[in-house]
Amino acid sequence: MSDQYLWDRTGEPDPGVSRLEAVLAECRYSAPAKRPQYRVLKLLAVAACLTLFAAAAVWLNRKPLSDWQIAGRRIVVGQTIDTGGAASTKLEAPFFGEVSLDRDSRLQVLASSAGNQRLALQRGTMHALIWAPPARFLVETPSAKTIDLGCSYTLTVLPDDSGILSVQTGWVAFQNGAMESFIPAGAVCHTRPRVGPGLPYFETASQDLRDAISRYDSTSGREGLNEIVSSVHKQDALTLWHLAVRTSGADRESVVRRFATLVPGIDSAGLMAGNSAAIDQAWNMLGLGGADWWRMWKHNW
Amino acid sequence: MIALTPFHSQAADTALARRAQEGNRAAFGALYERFKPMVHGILLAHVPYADAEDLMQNVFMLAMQRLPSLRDAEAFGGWLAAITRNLAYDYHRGRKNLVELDGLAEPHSSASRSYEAETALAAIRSLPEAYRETLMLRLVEGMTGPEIAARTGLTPDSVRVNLCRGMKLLRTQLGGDHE
Repeated sequence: MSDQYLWDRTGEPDPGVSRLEAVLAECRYSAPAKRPQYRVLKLLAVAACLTLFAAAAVWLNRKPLSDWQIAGRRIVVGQTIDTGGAASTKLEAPFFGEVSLDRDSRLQVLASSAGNQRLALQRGTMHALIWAPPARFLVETPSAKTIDLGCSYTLTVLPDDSGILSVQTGWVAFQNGAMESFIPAGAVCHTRPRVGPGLPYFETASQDLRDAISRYDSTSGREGLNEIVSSVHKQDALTLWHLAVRTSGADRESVVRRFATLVPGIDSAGLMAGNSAAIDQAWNMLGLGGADWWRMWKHNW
Repeated sequence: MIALTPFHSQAADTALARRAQEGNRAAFGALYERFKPMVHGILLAHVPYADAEDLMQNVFMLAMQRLPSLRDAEAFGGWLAAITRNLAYDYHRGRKNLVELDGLAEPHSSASRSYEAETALAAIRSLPEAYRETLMLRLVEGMTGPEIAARTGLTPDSVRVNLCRGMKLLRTQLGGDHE
């Protein structure tokens, strides 16, 4: 008898090994004998899920399977997962990461090209932990899309289709058309329908600065600029960097002037002129990591 | 269910270990999910079934505390396996101070586990340590040889040899239907 089955469970099953597997399966950690009631409930829940998945699969009529799975069951491309009032649900994609959906959340699995994954969060909150290479995992929302650059983050879509993104580790790019925000760990960014991502800020930002950013974002930059400039501190330079890229003329001048007092050594003239090397240099001086990886991924300036 | 290839699985483990070292609890939670069969299997090779689950929690708590001291995130699996074995040895040292154990007899035998399963567990535990752990991971936890190698940090050749020689000894021990 070959040992292939013993090695990787391929080939002709070895009756002796199969019998031991069957006998010892009850000792596995995933089937603890200490909690029989829990096990019964879990089995019932899995059975209910399997039924729902089977019904959904028939209804969707042979649509292709995605790489995402819930409790080991593959999800069909185009399928929507609605948690309703139930407890959170976890989606997993081998080689990509995990997404947990909070209650009252709705997420659709979109068609993806090879090596990439796309989801659409339509409502509620998802927590993503992604270990795929940067820029391979995209989440669409009604007002912007998130592009994972290697991280874990929380994304919420509110009933008015606006969104909030907070990053726990790594980086996320928040994008709508030409409007982009880069959000590092510890920072937050809001997005609004028909406007796109606003100015990111660190969670340690003062309430005055948050209020000013909210005014700036909600008025498409018509109000709040002076308040932002006057209330930023050194640790808020992330916000000023984004503002420098989005403004022009006298507005940009006031932003760059304040930026230069908080981060001495930036190329103020280059920033005023919108010079890409100066923008990169200003970013690098924030101490949040070099800008080289952006150039490799995408460069909009 | 998609079978994880060892390469991708190990790369993901390493990425998660790095994030967990940075203090990311979600990453540590993911590592817990991925490594709990390995930890449980190694514990079963050394301690009674009834105590393995409790010890598992201790293993992961200790790992979380010591994770910042892990120099090479790629070695996470082997490092966690070493922590698991050390806690199992501590368990025996502690128990020897209390009462003399009769081999590895199950002190809390459960009626919910069949006599056949108890016999098979005892037979595996009577084997040399290297075979014992590998067979527990393969036959109890359902891991394949490549998965065992990727998780524990052993070479695939070592795992294969341990599985084959261990299974041969186990068949001799059990006789009958397992031949």
